Amino acid sequence: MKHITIHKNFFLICFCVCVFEGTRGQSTNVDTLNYLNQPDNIENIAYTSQASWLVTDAVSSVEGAALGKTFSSNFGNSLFGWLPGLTVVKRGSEPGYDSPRLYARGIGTFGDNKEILVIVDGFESKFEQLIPEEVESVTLLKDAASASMYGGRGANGVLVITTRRGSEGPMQINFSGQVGVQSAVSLPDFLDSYDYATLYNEALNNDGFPDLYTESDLEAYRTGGSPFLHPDVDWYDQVLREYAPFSRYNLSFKGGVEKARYYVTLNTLSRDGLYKKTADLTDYSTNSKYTQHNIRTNVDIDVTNSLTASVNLGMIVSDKSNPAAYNTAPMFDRMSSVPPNAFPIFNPNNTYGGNALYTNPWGDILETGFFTSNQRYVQSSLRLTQKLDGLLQGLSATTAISFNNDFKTYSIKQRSYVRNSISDTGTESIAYVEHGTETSLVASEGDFEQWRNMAFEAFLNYNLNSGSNQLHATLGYNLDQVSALGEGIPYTHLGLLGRFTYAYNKKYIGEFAFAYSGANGFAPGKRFGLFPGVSLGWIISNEEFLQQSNVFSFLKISGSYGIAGNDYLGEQRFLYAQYYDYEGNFRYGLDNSIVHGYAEAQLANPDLTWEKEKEMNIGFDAVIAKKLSISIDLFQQNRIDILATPNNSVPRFLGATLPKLNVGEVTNRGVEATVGYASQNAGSFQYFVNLSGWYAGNKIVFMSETPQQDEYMYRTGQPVNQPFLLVDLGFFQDQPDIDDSPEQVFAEVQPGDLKYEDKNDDGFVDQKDLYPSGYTDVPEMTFSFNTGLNYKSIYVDMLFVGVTNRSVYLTGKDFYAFQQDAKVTSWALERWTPATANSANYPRLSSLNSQNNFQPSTFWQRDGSFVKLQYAEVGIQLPKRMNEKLKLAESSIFINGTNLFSIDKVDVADPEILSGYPAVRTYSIGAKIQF
Amino acid sequence: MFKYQRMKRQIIRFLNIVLLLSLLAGCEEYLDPQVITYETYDQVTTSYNYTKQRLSSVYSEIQPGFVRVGGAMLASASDEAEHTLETSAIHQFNIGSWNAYSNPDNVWAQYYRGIYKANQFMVSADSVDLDRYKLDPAEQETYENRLEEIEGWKYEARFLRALFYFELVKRYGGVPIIDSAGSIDQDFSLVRRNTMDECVRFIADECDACAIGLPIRHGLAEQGRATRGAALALKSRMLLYAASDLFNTPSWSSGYSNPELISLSGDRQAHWQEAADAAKAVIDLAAAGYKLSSNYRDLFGPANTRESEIIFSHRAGNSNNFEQANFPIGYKLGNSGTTPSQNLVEAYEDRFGLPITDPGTVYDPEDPYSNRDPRLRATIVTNNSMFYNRPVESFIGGLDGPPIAQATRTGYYLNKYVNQGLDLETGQTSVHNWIILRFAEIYLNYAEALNEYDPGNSDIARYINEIRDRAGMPDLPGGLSQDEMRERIRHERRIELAFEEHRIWDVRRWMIAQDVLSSPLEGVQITRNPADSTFTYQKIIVENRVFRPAMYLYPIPQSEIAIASGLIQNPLW
Repeated sequence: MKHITIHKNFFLICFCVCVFEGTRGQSTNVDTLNYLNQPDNIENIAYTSQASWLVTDAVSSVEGAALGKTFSSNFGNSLFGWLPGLTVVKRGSEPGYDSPRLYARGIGTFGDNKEILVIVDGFESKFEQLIPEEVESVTLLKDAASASMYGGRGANGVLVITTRRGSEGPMQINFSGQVGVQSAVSLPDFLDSYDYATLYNEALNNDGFPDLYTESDLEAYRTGGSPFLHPDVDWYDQVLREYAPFSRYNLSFKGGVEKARYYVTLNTLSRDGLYKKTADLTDYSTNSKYTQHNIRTNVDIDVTNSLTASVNLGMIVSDKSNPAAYNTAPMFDRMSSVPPNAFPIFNPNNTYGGNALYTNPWGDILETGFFTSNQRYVQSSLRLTQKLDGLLQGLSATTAISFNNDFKTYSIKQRSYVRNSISDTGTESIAYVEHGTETSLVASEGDFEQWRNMAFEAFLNYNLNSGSNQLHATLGYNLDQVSALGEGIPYTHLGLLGRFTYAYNKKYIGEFAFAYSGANGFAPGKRFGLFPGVSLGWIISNEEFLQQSNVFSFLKISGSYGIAGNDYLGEQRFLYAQYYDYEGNFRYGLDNSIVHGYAEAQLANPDLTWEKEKEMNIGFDAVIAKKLSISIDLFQQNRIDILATPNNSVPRFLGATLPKLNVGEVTNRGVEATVGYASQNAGSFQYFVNLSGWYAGNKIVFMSETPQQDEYMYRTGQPVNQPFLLVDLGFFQDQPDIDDSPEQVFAEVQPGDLKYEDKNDDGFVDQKDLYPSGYTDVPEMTFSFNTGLNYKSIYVDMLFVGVTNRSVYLTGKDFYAFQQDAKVTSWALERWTPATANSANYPRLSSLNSQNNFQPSTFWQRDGSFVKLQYAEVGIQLPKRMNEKLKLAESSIFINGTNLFSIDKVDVADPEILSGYPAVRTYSIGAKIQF
Repeated sequence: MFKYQRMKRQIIRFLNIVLLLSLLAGCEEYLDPQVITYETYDQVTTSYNYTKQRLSSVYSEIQPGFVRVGGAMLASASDEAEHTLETSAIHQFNIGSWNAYSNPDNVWAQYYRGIYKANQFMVSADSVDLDRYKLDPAEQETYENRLEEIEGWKYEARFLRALFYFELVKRYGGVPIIDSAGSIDQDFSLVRRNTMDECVRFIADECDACAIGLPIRHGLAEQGRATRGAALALKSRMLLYAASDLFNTPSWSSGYSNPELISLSGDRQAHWQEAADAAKAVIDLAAAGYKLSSNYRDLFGPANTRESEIIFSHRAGNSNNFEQANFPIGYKLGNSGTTPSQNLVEAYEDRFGLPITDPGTVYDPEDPYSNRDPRLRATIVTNNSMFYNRPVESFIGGLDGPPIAQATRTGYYLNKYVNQGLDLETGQTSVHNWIILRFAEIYLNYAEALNEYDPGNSDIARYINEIRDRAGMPDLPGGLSQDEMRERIRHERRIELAFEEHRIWDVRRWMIAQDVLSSPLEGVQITRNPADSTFTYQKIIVENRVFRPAMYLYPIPQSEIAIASGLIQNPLW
């Protein structure tokens, strides 16, 4: 990873210049004309769609086609950078375990549920395994007014995903294929045996122990002349391969006749893991691989002239296989633990190396069995739309049912195997000591996960379009039941909901939306609530004084206010009821037998209710000279009724376990802005740029905290999840320095240990000196820069994404030298020693689990800002003549790369995925063909 | 065509039905959970098993002293020991870094939790539904037994509540006495601390009431539950503490305006007499069969539940956590843990009963651990003594000595309660039974109180000598004055009850803490003379310690005062 200093000013300048909303994605190549925020585009919003100019609350959207250029085995990751207001925080890169966290407008609560509600084709669903090819659009409902129809589920924002449908016309057949390779962006740089042993001796000496490795040991490590007794194994190198292939193929059919329209797509995606291929090497292993097959059929049938039936059926089957464990986390932990000199991969007698402390990572992959999982996900719905123009012109009724079912089964085949540690007997022979036993494969097939949603809805819609008056009204009922494994009782929501939008002369727009909805997590009588949203808009460009303007092609200001709820309150359900639970135990009797204790659990909160978000939004949209579009949203959220333990109002001498009461409060404010420019000439050269940035900063206003000794100790007043760390003052230089400094209570310190600030000046550095430092790992600011051009038949398209106001924390074996019997990276070469006291960049080494240097401190915190090239694609349209010869309508070939570089300040790891399965970079080639 | 029309009609009819249903379906019954996945109050209180388990939960608030604060014993917050692990919160006591916001021994909430559960238990224990037995003529005996059992349980809960109050009062002085389970909606600003008088009286009276209701001994299957002896012994300790200097000398608080919260009123001599009588009542409880164990060391071994000296204890399952914490650093998985101080080691007499500072002592500074009170070896692991499978090497450069990080800093390791026989590497474990009340303490309580109100009474020396005799030590010399006897009793208590959570409270109630707990904690630096493998012992200061008069009592947690504004903070905090 390159270490390039980023100036915050760079971001600020970008931020001031630009920012926007409503990124229009590109279709197969760069279609700049379709790019700008067009007032007549159709936005898919809550339960319906509207022309873009009619939308007066805060939404942003992207076309599905734009998302496909970021190769990912998880749909969520491809959303990064496309939706102003959507924060994407990666959680992993391993196929099948790479679902990111998605936040709309950052974080608005310290409650358990902070993440966004996902709606696919109108119903609560999951997004992970959708593919960009089947997605028509993704809309982010950002403010409470736009989400109010989702009632008690909308407060964290809503991601409305709409899949593609057919339209009347001849059948279009599209085929695309892409193959490529992935490679790790960064792996920890562990030292070889010689450096390891040298540093380990130094660490021992620092702790008062003698050397473990003699001069001749070190010499043997240096020369490599004794590969069995003095091995030097790079386990990452041994277990991982440099490049692993991936591929995806898509075939889709789209079209329609008079009475029926269809969209059908078949997709297959395959992504190998970075482990070497091991299936053929033993009988007890498998290759690490993820494959996913998607099938979708969306059909609309006109049953009568006035009745349309829409059937959506999406099926996803994904398989994951992995040697040794469900996921790669334990193996990466082991590869980061086993010192290079611990044992050879194979002993002279060809047995696996090993010792009492560690198993052999290569042996583990080959010999301990394998795990496979199979996931079947069905998204299905039937929607009937009956026009009722006979009753009233513009009236219609719709009703729909949906079943979503996600089911995942696991198959485990496990065994253990023998390793041998070896030692030199001094008599020219080698002594072997066996560890572990040889067992046969034991299978277990019982594990599974499931999630399902059953929903029903019915609406009456009325659309009036008479001259200067436009009225769109919808009123409906919905019932929704989400069940997850382990939740005996589903999450049920039901309610009345509606929206009334009125526009006069395409200039003045007013809208009222509401949900009167109930949820089953609350006490009888406390289940229903009203969630209203109002918004107003003024399209100034349609006023006479601007109509002739050549400058403003479109100009709108809008404002909204609404209330939305968050009623997923965490793991424990029905907090309004008094629970009793096991607590403690008592032993007595001759045989000291145990009787478990049972007691009143946390007190009930009979008034339990949902979190409420009150949000105001002001929007500004403009298109200037038909080339430049600007869009800005400003918002202020106030989340109230967040569950908090009343630590500052109920004393402990009450003796009860305190309940969770709806008393917490968080504010969150921010801005999203986008500027886009597209050349409008129809010539051979077209280009566009699109720059967006969004910011959301929250603050805890009240959480009923226990009184604290010093002001800085309060979480209240800080952002949600604010890190509290000791403030690092560098290294202790010498004994007088230690003697003159406040006592650090974690351990006896030596020169070279980290010195922390005594924040409360009590003469001791302890837990009370933890100070709010840095940011959370959810960035406050995200930027994206998308640009592309067409020159004749060549196109180029790139997306840069960046974040700032984010901190990451380096922890674990990839960073901490010799901790938990693990090894050491090249970072430790910069350690403090008396000789390097002035240039040291790492604390003095210790062989013990040092209590001082690995305390949570700013030393291990890093600025988590980064700029990455999310993807770059260059393609060429094949000439018309060639297409005609091949009987193709259109065709193109392209090369694509993702995650091509990162500019960041973390230095020793990727800023998004700090350890474990690494972030990957991909290079691929592909073709798109339309018949 | 006809077919198509019919189908169309059918679909329209279906659609109408669906629409109609949708409008009707909007009732709340969809939102009723249908099933209740939790136990209700009635189910819990009428169940015999749940009721029994609820009492278990009250018992579970008794804290064994093995890992009282931050993995350390309270001994490490007194002049008995230093805890090795630097990160342990116990060090806050010794460096004076504790206050109303941050108290490492923050038991306030925990004991009030126990009190709450005991209160809840007492009001609902009678709700157990025994109709199954009551209505069955064949089960009348079971019915009667269960009724009696439940009656006994209520006294056990009541005893435990008294024990929890005692734990609070010895730390905080007068605390609010809450004798019924309160609710979250009450006005907490009205709550006041009860006076020291009220608290002592409450605990003593409760013990009296329990002594009547509790059995003298339980059947074998119920052994370990609270007994009459436990109630009387608790009363003895409460009254001894109450009669002591700390709770009768409000002047230490420098003009504290609420002396009634920290001091008793009334006649001091009467307090001593009451304390002596309470101790004597336990001694006289012949039917309980209490007697000093023949072997001091066995009292702290894995089979100690059978020792007839133990009046009340906390039992635990099989474990080696205590050994892992306290084995010397050179033993696999050992962490040094509690390392006894030179201050304590010096207090042990020589085997003829003379202090090692006495000119006539047989104590040899070159061989300091020979010819000493046998309780020294039973309590403390000294250099070069056999431990597990080899002699301990706590000398410089030894397997268990400096400069190894986390080696003992005092030169000693703990022996009491440590089961040396466990092979930690193979994960051997044993039972650990923490003594809360034992008969020897009652002797010491009796002697101490008696010496104050009836000095010269022959019982004083008699009971001290019984304890010394059991330990293999000669009797006290005759003709001791009251003051001399007081020093002897205090010495005996220090030695006999070391590492049993007495010293930290004794030095407070005797009001010697400002000397004892602010003196440096000492250890020995041991050098092996390579020539003849003998050792040289050099006394060193391990830690300079801080004790301010405020620390005689714990501060009431500031978080409580912030909410319940009627609670008055303890003096000097």
